[in-house]
Amino acid sequence: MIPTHFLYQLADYEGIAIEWRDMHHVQGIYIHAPGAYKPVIALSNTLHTQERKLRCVLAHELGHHFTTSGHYIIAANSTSSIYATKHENLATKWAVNLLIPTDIFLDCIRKGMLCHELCNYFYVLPEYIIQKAKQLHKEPSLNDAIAEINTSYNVVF
Amino acid sequence: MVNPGTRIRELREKREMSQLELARQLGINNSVLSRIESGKRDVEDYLLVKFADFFRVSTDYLLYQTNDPTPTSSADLPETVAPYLADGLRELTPEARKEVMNFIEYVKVKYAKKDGDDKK
Repeated sequence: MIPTHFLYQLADYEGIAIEWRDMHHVQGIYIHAPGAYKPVIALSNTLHTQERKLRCVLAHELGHHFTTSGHYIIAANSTSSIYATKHENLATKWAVNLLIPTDIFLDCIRKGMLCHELCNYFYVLPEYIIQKAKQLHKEPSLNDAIAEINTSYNVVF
Repeated sequence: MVNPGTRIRELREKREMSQLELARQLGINNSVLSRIESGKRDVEDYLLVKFADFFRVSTDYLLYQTNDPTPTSSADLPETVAPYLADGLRELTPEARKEVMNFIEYVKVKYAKKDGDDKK
C-alpha cells in the first residue's frame, strides 16, 4: 500500500496546507481561494482515529488539486456527496488510481484476493475497491479480472 | 408579467441538470417543473423561494426585476463561493455547509495574500 505519510508529503510538495478541524458533518475540504496564497485542505478531527478513511478523504482532496485548474475551487465531501458532481468524480477517480495502482491491483486479483483482502491490502474503504473495479470495467482486456471482483464483492458485502 | 420559467430553465441548463434531477433536488414533481419552465403554470411564492435558494439567486432575478442574480439575503457568503455553493455544495446538509463556510472564512483570514506576495 501507499504509505499514508506519502500523501502528506505530496501535499507538502505541492505547497498545500493541511488544517485539522473540528468538523462533524464534512470530512474533507479542498479550497484554493483567489485571496489566499496557497491551497488548503481541511480534514476532520474525526479522521484521526480512522486511518483507512483518512487516506481516502485526503487522496480525494488531493485529487481536486490535481484535476481542477484555477482558483475558486471549493469542494467538500460528506459521505453522501462523495460521487455527486463532475468535479467529485474526477477527484475520486484520481484518488482511486493513486491509492490503488492498476498493475498491483491486478496482481492481487490473480493471487485470488477477495474484496475485503484488497481493502486491507490497499488500506482503503470498500467503496474505493468497487470504484476501481468500475473504472477497470471500461478496459475490455480486463473483463475477466472484473468479473472475479464482482463475484467476490457479492460474497463479501 | 414576465415568466420566471425561462430564468429557471436558463439556470438549470447552465448547471447541466435535467428537469428530473432538479425536480428531485427540490422535492417537486417533474411535470410541475416542466409546466413552470414552459410558462404553463404560475410559480407559487414558496416555490419561487425554493428555486432562488437552490440557484443562489434573488427572487427578483427570477422575476426579471433585476439582471443581477446576487441574492441580498446571502450577503454573508463570499462572492467567490456563491457559484460553487450551487454546484459542489448543493448536496450538503445545512450543518455541513456551515462547517464549510466557517472554514472558508478561516482560510480567508489565516492564508490571506499580502501585498506584493504573489507566491510564497
